[in-house]
Amino acid sequence: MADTVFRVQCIPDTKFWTRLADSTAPKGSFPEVMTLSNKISFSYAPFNALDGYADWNNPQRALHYLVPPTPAPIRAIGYLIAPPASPTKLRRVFVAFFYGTRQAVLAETHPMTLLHKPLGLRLASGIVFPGDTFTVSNIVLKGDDAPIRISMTAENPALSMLIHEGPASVAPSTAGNGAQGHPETQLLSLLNIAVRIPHLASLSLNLPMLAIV
Amino acid sequence: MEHLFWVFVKRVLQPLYAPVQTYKVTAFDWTSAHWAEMAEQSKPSGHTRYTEMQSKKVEHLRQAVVKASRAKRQDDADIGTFEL
Repeated sequence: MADTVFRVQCIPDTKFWTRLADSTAPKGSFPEVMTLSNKISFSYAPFNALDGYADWNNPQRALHYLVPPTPAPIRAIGYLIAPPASPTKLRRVFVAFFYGTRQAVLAETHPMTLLHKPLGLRLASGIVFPGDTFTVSNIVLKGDDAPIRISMTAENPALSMLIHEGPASVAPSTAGNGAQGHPETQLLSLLNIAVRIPHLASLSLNLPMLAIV
Repeated sequence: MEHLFWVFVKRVLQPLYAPVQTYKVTAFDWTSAHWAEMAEQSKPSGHTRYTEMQSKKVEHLRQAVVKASRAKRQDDADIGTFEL
């Protein structure tokens, strides 16, 4: 989880992001092709990509995403954070499974999945692609100007998770491996993730190396 | 060690975890027609414009070459001699 430093890139496209924030139960024809700003085409359907994700006793299912069979192998996954549908609602997080440079399957996921790289991808047939067959993009996409802030608390309020967008790193050359060699990427704001766990000190994830030192 | 890892993960993630979308992936029609539509829509929009621009350039160039060769032929004094 520490080898990816998420940075936030804004690609405005009101139609796309509004559609994503408002997507509800599967009514109409799915999968639906949605294009973000003429740059990336997404095949969106409201399927449960987290089916089996919390089957902790089954290593073939736990912490794995469930994906549909795609025309080419999935080589990368990336995250999109939709604008809040209303001021009181949390932003929804979506995961994109890229099988081409501009083509991906899109499904909703839980913000918790940003904490770590999934252990693998699983087809409904049971075939599992292990974690070394794909990468996780360090760029998180959003479509609005408001900074991201997602706060989650478990039933036990001592356990909580806060995801918030912060300013870009002041020392880009020491940022994580995902940003090396891309100075423009280092100018993007950081997505900070803090987890508070009972009987443990708080964990701050996704910080540039300089901040950790 | 692995057991300890899973206990830790379970204790941290389980309380936060909640399914967000409950519909099975198999409920949707991932047909080849769908993937073809995806491929069509993911073509860069600038591509056709670029191709069109390039073909126009080539056409202009071709017309200029034809025009120049016609003009050269008319100006060439030896052309009549050659034909005779």
